[in-house]
Amino acid sequence: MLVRVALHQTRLRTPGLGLDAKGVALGSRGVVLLPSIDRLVAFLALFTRQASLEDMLRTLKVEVVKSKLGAREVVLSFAADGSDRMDRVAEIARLAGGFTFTGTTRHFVQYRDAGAPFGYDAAELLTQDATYALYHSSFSQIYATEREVELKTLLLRLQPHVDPTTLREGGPKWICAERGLGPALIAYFVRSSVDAEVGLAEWPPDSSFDDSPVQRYLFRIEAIPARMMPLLTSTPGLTVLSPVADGVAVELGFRHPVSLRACPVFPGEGLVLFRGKGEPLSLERLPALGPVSAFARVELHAEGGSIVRAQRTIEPEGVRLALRMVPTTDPWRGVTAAWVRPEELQLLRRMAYLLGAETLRRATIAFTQHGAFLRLASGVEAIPVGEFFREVHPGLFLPAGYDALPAVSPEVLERSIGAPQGLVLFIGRDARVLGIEAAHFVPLETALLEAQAWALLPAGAIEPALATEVPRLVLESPGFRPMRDVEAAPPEAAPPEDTGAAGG
Amino acid sequence: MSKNLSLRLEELAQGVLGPLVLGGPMRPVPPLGPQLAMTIGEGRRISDDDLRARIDVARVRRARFVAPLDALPDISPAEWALVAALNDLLQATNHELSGPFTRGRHATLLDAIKRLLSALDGPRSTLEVIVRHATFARLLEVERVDTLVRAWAGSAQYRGQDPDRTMTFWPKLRRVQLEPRHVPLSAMADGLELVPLERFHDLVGQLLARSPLTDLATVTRSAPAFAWTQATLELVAYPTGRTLASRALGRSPDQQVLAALERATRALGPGEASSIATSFHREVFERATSARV
Repeated sequence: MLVRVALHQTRLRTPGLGLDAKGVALGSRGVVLLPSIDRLVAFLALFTRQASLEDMLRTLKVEVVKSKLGAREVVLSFAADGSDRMDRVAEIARLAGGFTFTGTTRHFVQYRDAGAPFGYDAAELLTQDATYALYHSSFSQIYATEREVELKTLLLRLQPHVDPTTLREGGPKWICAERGLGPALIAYFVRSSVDAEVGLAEWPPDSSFDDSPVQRYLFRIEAIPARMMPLLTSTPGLTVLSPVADGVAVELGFRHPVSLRACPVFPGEGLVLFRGKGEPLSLERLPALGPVSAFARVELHAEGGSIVRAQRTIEPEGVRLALRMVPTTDPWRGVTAAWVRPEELQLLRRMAYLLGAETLRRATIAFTQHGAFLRLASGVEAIPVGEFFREVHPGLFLPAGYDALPAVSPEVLERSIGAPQGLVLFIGRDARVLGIEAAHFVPLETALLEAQAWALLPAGAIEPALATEVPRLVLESPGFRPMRDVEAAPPEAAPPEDTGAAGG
Repeated sequence: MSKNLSLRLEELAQGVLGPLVLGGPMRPVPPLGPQLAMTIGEGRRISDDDLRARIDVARVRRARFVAPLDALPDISPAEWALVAALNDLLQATNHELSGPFTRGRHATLLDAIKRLLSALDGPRSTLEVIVRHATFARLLEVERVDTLVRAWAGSAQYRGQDPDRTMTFWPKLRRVQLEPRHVPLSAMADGLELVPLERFHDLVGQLLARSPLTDLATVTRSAPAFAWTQATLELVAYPTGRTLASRALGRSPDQQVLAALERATRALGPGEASSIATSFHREVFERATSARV
């Protein structure tokens, strides 16, 4: 039924088939015939690993077709747009077990292969009226369209595959929490100073018997601390998802069979959450998200406090204010330094044995007559010794939990101190400023090995961290027949003097 | 088993487990026996949400001394059985358990505790080691307050009970003097001839051996003296377990730790166990000496 197109051939029998600039027989559309939906998914998975479907998406159509014998197959049709695209599609279709055709309206001939580098032309056309008449070197068949398959629906129906490698991927994450877990998770994040945004999303009720919509909390986190991952990924009701494309996220530990980044079928303003077990959750529009810090505990001043109002203003007369440090209820952020006073150095020394290698490597320390100053960019909470400081400006530290008064910006504060470059400044709670040469900070592990002067301090017992009550035994009468639940030992096991002595 | 098992578990949690983990007055429940102890925790958990949450928080806090964990699994059936064993052990020291004609109850109860402990295995995973330590870390902190009341008309001794009001009224006129004495767990059988001290120490040691990290963390205790057991040797035989053991030992004075380990290692005969114990002892020794630089 098919004849090879020859070099410099100018006329073709198949309607809608022409020759492109290279002389390859090509219609305006390409068709891939696949035996089943499984093979279609395989084709999409293979294709999206290498290229994006974005260019083809506008003209892409997936149909389930039926032959005259009743066999159902899948046809994927798209704008041919040149032999380069068709070559790529044909290679992948061959790998996925499909055939590639080209044509314009009804008649589609086999696309070129190694046996016919310029393609094929139909020697004789099928006369039956059908949606597709496909001509292949091994068969010619007509197909009628049974139904159309929407690509978005197909992607939503695909169950993600288990893929533990995604558990180690960093980057931003979404967390979908059932309604009951949301407040606890917010409190956990606030307590742990984790930057996250939270919103409350609503889905229609699962059935008509439910009168209220299903509500779930949606968290967006830039980076989940590694220590929280086991808890977040193993707690029922919490789903941690990794965004894979605009508006799409897949649960950690799973991977969608098709590369969703290459299939931009989901709108970016919405969100589709592919869960490993269960149906995907789809949101047409993202809920309003706000920082979890908004849920931190607040304290209000008592009502009725007098407010002193200025009656008039006067010209400033060189106002100079002494700097003060005042406690603040703001959550701690950027706590990256600690001041270990001389009396706490032996505690630091003991603590050093419990520190991990990474912490020891990254932490830097400087020794002064006022004690040691520790710096750790990833957060000095890993070394729970001394007074914590937060970095408000590069090289300028304030005590954690304290703010400067007047509330000038950190830049102004630094300028007012007028310290030379290369000094790291610590402002104590008494507003005293200590400056240390940045070059004097040495890695903690080096300082440990060099046995600094602080190591000579006398060793003493560490104060117990848990000052809880002692368990105190109170003896009371065990009541009537206290031994009713204790069976006597087997006779051979019992000592001779105990025989018959069991009470009850 | 006259009462519902869930109710018994709740009593055990309120009376023994809660005070063991959180501190405060510990009121043992009537003895449970091996059969009840082995089944009481199966498929059950503490129904008082507040108590369960406070116990969980305290256990996590305790576990964080040795490992960076954010959550621990629920109390397992084996842990409940150990709590029941502790309850029975404390009841065995209760002078009110028996009367003039039922003196054999103490010996029967000690037999039952021995059978129960021999039926319980040590932890089978690192997480289980940490979890058991989180629950039983304060085992040797349990104490009893005995009070000696002296008055002009005589004196009276109270074991683990508040003095009777008849002995303390008109304190100034009658020159009442109260002399409280804190009795540690290891000495609770003192003065009760029905409970042989060696046997009591042996059972406390067996109970400790079911939580090897606790056993090692309390290596400097006076009684029962630390001795290497299969569970403790298994723990220090692999790197992670050895790290946990080192962290647990880090809170005790180096000299006493070294002395206790050396004594226990010397008690082992030649063999693989001895080589494991010796290498761990050497490691602790090196760390202690390097820390003193």
